[in-house]
Amino acid sequence: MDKADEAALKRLQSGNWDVEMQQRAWDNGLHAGMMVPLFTIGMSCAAGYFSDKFLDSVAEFENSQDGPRTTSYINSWYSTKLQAHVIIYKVLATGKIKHMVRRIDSEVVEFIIQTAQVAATTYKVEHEMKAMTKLKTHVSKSQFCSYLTTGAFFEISKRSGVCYIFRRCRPTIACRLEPKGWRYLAALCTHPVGYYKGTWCGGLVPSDDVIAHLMMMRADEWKFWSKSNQHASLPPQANI
Amino acid sequence: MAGVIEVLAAGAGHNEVTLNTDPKEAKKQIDDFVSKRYALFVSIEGQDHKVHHFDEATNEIVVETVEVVTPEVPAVPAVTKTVEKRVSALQAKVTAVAPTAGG
Repeated sequence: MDKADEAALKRLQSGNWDVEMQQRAWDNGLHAGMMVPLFTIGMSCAAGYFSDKFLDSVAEFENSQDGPRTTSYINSWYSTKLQAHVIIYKVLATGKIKHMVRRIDSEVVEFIIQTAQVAATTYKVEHEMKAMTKLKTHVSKSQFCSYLTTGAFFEISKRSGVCYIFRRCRPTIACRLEPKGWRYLAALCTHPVGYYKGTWCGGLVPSDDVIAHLMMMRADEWKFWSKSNQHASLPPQANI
Repeated sequence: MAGVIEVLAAGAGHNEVTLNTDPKEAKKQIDDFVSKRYALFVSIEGQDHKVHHFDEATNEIVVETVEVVTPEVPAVPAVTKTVEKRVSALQAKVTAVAPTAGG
């Protein structure tokens, strides 16, 4: 280990991982920083941001953590009738096809717990406060009050008339007011830099994600939809 | 006075990159972000717009916005036209959003 690595290790051990990560990212020309790697939760990184080499190393690391594969995935879907996630898989040793039913409420609880764990380990209060200060300059007083007190605010697109509900650490809900009432369109989920799998957490602090969603919606609504995963209301990813 | 690019960043929160007062250098900075597939947004007249390009000759950030023109005669359908708007690079506060991954 050379002196630079030793110094980096000391910074990491002293709890200044964010400073260390930032420095490493800047050295590699990544202006938006690096996601904090967690060894228990997988990451999905933005392809255009990280190099292919980096993405390959993340995938390789995740595969090495999984151990030898005993099953292979075939298909899965959300059943509205069962209110559950049905997964079909093959047991490699016997070749038998099996299924697994996971209730949506248990998946949601898992999402909530994992999200809380990731937030507690990777986010810092001062970064979130900084992001909220910036958000305040982009929204109206009433929108900010709503965000601060309930964690969500809404805005109707001047271009399409679609109403967007921006939520802290949750996907943005797109809906439309029709004569019969509100019609749910989709939960739009996209994270600059990347996100942690099985959670609603992105690489950026939650309010930075909200700013990104808001700006994309206002300035490039079409791209906001095309870049986002569009979740139906049932899966836990949508958090409806 | 110089404009700034505020990058929404992971790790240590926001990064601020000061735009160079030399238009050539400022253009290089903007182009660097665009080539790395960042989405750049700038506020003009209280509205957020996506940055289209940097005009080195006038040291301005250029955005293009689509506006609906409603004709005075009701029978004629409304048309859309692209309007160019500009903001001086010396006053601009640009927000940079890194490439995204759908969650």
